[in-house]
Amino acid sequence: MKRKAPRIFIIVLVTVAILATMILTALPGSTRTIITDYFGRVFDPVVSFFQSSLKSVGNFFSAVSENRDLKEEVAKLEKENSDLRQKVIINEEKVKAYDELEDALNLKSRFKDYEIVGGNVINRSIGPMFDLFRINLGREDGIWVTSDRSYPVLDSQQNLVGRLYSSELGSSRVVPLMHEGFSISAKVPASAGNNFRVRGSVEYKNRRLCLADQIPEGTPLQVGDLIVSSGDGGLYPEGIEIGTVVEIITDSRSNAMQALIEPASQLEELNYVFVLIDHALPSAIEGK
Amino acid sequence: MPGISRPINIWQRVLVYAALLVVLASIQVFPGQWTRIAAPDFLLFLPLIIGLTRAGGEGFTMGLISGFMRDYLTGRLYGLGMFEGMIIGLLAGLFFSENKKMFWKRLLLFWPAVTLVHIISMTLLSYFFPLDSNLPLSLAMILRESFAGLPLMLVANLFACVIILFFLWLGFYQKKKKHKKTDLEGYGGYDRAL
Repeated sequence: MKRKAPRIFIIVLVTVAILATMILTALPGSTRTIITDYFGRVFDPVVSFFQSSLKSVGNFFSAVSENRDLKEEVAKLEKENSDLRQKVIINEEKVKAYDELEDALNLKSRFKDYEIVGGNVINRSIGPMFDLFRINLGREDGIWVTSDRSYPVLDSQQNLVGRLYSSELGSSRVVPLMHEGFSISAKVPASAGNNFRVRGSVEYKNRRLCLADQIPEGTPLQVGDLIVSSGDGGLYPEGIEIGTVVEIITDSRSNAMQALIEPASQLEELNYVFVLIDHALPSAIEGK
Repeated sequence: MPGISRPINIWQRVLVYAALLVVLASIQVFPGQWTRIAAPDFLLFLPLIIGLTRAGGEGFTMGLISGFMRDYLTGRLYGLGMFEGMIIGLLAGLFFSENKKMFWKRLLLFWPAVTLVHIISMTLLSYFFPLDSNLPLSLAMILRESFAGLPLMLVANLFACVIILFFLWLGFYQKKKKHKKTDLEGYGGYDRAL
């Protein structure tokens, strides 16, 4: 069986088109959002549908295994008791949702000046480097990311997850806390003025840790200390929980003190996230 | 791979490839606890397997489409994934062979090569196009950390190849037609009848 390979001129043409696309989409704003807006409208619902089907299949199997356990108990306990247990299992999901909502309400009272928008994680990043993950909040939800404007992303426990990198019509890309391109001004809650930088580090990413550097001399930093955002820079409000110090190290080159931070947010278990929109910043309309 | 490489009408192919793309892409980027382990990179290996089994422009086209999906789902810009997928599909198509043994040999050669090239290219991209140029980045460090996860990634990608091959075999499955024996063959064929 012989099949025709693509002609050279088609390959050249496609390569040129790809290079042009790369250059165009590398520019801030621009074509990337146009492509994603159109494609996302068709593709995202398909992926969401498929993923929710996967979840339902998973739920079905877990329900089957849970039922098996219950059957054993039914033999031991009275009927009334087993009915109650079944009800508890059915309501477990509702309780989870209630907890999320309760946490979100707490979040709302804590960041009064911010509008809080909640969304789902659509997909995780593919590779360990360079790639980002996506959430289902976009320009339709009032999120307009530009080259000088971004938004903090938190989980339901008010821990920092990352920041937005770009926003499309119905989705946005998130730079997670442990990404090598992420940094935030941080501090120990009790100390005033001793701000330092917490950033993602390639070296410690595999250990699921962040690195705190540029720590001023005399900063009272100890293993077990809670690290929060300092509020400097204007993007992140003060007091967002980043993580806990797990190790104090000394940089071999500069001899400066550094610290390894274990993020408070469980990034792998994220399903729901909250984006803080600061209306005190230049109006979102300007972003448009 | 005779089962997968056989000629099939275009609509059946489009259907199989579309289903494969949606299913595999959704599984690959499914958020959850399992992201702690190295995940099989289906979108990277789809053009390779299709190129090696179907030849012609199919690997090339699939490379472009799966690359676009990669760019759309997690990329920072469009074109990188498409370019990578196109090259993989094109090269794989050039090494197409209907011989089963030859196919496996080439797959076993391409599988680590593609994984390695992908890691190196992602490392270089992270280094030359950082998200924040103010943050310190060392190329040696990125390379070292990337290669630390190589064995697991190789295993995961081999798994991806097997899964893709299985899906393709399933998609292009054809019932074997039973050869009806003629009366003459029933008695031992033409020679015996003579």
